Amino acid sequence: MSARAASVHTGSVESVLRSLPVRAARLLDGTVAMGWAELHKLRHDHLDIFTRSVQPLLWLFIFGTALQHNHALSGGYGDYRAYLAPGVMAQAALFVAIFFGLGVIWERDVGQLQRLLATPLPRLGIVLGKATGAAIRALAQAVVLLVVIAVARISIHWSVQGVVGAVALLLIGTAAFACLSMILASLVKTRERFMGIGQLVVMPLFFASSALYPLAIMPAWLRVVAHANPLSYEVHGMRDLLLGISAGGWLWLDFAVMISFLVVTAVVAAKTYPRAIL
Amino acid sequence: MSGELAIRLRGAVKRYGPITAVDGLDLDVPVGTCVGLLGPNGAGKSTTMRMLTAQAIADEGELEVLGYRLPQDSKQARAHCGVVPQLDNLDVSLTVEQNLLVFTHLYRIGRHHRHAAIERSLELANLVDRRDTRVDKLSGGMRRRLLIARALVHQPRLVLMDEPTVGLDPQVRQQLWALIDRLRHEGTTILMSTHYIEEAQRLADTVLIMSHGKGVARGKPADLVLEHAGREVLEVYGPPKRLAEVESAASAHGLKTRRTGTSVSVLGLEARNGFDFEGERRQANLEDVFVLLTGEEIA
Repeated sequence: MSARAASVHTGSVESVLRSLPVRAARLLDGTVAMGWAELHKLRHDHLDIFTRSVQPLLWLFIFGTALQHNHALSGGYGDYRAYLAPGVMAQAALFVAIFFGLGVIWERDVGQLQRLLATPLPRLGIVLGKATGAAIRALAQAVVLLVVIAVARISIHWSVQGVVGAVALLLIGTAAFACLSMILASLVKTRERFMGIGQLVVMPLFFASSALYPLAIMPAWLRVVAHANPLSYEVHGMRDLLLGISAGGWLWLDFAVMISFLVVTAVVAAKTYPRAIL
Repeated sequence: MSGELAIRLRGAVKRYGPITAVDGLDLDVPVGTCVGLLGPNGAGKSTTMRMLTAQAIADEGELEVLGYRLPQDSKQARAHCGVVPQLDNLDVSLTVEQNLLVFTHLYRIGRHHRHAAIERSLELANLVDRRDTRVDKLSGGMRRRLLIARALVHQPRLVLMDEPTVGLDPQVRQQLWALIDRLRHEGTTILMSTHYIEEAQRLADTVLIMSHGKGVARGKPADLVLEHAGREVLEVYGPPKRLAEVESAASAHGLKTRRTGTSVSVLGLEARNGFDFEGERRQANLEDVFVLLTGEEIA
């Protein structure tokens, strides 16, 4: 038995490469199973989706309506509410994602994480499964917001590829910010401290991005910060897809930045998160 | 297969800062047996369990589970282990069957075998007619049975149970004992940590008594009792002064004693050598051995 175990361990590069599709399939299967469980949990949590949708709607209908005809804020676009809509969707998802770490710390405290660690699921699978859970919540919220936007006749350009593309970008972003949240959770370890850190992270991410106003009206230093902020790319891409406007930059770059951000945060989270909170 | 080891630990050490939770532990769990890890709180049982389930990495020593070296081949080992945790960590908003289904995926059971695996687990834990019940509607005993069923869904070669009956009422505990006993008779290899002596005595083929991170005695429960506490025990009740007298008299006769709360127990009475006190005679038991070896005051 020991010999067999040893031969498994000392696999050549070739055998590792050959086993890659199998590993990827297992990773995907585990991630999907965790996402499926999250989806079922969400079904019992209608109130949560509703209450979480109130804040973005306030932004959209109070902040947005008050500044509806301000062309400076909308970067020249006719209706500020439409300009704001992708930003508000991204912001709502960001809040879900960043405070996801809170739930993760709670899960550690009640032994949920230990349960997952004991399974053969790779660490990356645990992290991606959790991130999928956050993305599913964001998806439910995005659907609610899109329905409200449609009912309120806010003039976005409805097209299948536009909506699908924007939602895809939103989900990638949410998963990435959820991974960032898990990294933070592994650093602070207690729920009380996490609340403070979460606020500290989420507000600058939100304000130093193009969620509320175009980069063009920002002072130079803030524009630099906003350019380094993944949320800006997420919003930029969504605006491109939902409104057909682009403040310079390319859609492919938005996707490339968000996917890279997800890869980096997921890999770091897979290293830090299970280790750091045990 | 006889004589093959499902778990082999040699000189395992785990430190948390200045505290050495496990201090050079040797542990053998032969295939097809149930081994009880017995010890007071803080003896290192849970840390040992955590090392075996990849939640902690040993600082020193050799650890082998089902022939796989830890921590390098931990993932392969974990695929063949079932873990019953100390804390109930079921998904409470999912049904019984959904909880099992998620685990068939996490343990990579092929699509065509999932249904059969779930049915087998439900039947084993006697939860067939509760399959569609949400976990938060189950009684405490049912939740514990589901926790065990979940650990068995992939037919593991080794089951690790960390204090499976801690904090449960006697009825539920007996249900679980029946379930564990059934597994044992089906030939499942089990390592079970517990601080309930009766549990170890009833269920374990052999026990390892731990104290301060070390193994202090190992063997069949009956053999350990005979070796350390003899056959007969005299239990003497009285005020503290009298108990102290009994202790010194016993010690003068070369007999071992242990405190039992309000009394003192004189062990191995069959070799009394003229020692004579009024008291209650009873059979020696594993608790005598446990207290004798792990000390009276608990750290």
